[in-house]
Amino acid sequence: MVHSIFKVKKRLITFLLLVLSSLFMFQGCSSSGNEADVLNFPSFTGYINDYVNKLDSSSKIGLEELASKIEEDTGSEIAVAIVDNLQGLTEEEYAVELFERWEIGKEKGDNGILILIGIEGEVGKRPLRIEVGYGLEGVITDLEAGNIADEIIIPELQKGDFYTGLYNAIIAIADQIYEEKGLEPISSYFTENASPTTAENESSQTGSVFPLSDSGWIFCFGIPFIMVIAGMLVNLFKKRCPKCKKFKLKTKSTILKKATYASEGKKLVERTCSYCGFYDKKEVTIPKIKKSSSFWTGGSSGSSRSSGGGGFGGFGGGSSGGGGASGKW
Amino acid sequence: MSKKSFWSGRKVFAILLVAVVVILAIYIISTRNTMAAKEIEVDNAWAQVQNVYERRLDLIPNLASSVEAYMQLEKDIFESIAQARAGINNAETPSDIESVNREISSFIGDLRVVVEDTPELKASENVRDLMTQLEGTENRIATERGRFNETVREYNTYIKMFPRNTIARLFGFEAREFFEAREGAEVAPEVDLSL
Repeated sequence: MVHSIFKVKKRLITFLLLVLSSLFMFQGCSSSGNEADVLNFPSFTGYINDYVNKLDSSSKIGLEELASKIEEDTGSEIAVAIVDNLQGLTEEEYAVELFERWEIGKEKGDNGILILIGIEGEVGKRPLRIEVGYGLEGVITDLEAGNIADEIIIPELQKGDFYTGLYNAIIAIADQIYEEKGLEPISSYFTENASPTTAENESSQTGSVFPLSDSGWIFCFGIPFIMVIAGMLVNLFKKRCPKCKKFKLKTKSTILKKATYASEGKKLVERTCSYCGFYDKKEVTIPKIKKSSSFWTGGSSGSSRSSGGGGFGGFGGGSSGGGGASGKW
Repeated sequence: MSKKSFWSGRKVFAILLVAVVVILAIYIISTRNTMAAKEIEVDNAWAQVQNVYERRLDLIPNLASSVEAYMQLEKDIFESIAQARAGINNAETPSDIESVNREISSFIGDLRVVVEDTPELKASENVRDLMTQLEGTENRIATERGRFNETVREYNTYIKMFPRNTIARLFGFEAREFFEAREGAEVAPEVDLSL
């Protein structure tokens, strides 16, 4: 009679554990739907992102190198996005959203700039915006951004010369940034072909201090916890004698033949129950030893950054707050 | 013999019960902490909105005085803005401050309409500069408001889902209010240009 009550209680506890673990699972699944997800924002491939082929490849490479150099010298990230249309948003809304998604600029300095150009629309009504990150609002004021947009970019865009407009605009922006940092203006680097002697490199740390600060934390925490509990239960039941059902089983293994890389091995497993005297033994094959395969492929959770030349490593986690200026071309 | 089996059964039961209680406690604690974290996000976003409001307040008198000469016609609007700005000192509750800021936004909207419709003003570089900076302030306000609403949405959604809502009620977490769209924001204000 006592046994059957125990069984009921055990079932009840198991059921409760399942309910709790499903609570953990359920938590991670609930996601708040975002209206912005319905819109399609492009992904970046580098600093210069031309989705409508207004730049030929040599122009794109030239601008990309310029932006890379600026990032090396100052840490500021200047991005360009030339899109077909703004999906019904204003240039302010689109630029802020894109900036937020790409996270342009270093996380600690918020020193990013986004030049957004839309090509759809009538002449004089096509959108342009220079969005300035929080950290550069003092260096590139709204007025300066407005002047760069009106006087440097728009005339060239209207001529159809995207490269010159963007190139001159980036130089103008960079001049301000370099001046603020006490460096030689960037144009001197190109005309003199001199190797920059005092270029300060801003090494920055990416990654937030609290990597698991949202509800994903519970998910990450609950799953291993459940697994630990489950593991403990499994170990417990291994000790269960098959004959008398008590947890008094002891296991003893003796290696008969060692396993090598080339061949399997054998071991003798003897089980004894100290309660009811149950005893059994059997031979178990040990599998061949495998060369240890690298389990950790070196990636931690979070974006991986490639340093130096080669592929584009991504932006640094910066944000903007609506500063900058818009224009129509 | 039955005594022994009675207690070993009980022991397992007790261990499992403790495990259940521990898991439940951890769940409740971590959920509560996430709620607190999300509410802090809301507060931070609110502070950002106040920041950009302040920035506008500090900026406007400087802008207005540099341009007022060109915009004699618009003296009314500038005076209204100045009055509204002074009204901030009388504002006590957050909703007072909010309504004063809304007034200023609507006056700035009036100003922009006037400039759009008056070619001489539009052509003036000083006026264009003023407009660029005003647009900058309005855009910042709109951005921070939008982000505030997002944090509120996330927080409210989080505390309303079952079984979190019981935990929320237990610890006193309440839903927060959104920023509402301005009433009549869609209708362009009519401005009297007669001298």
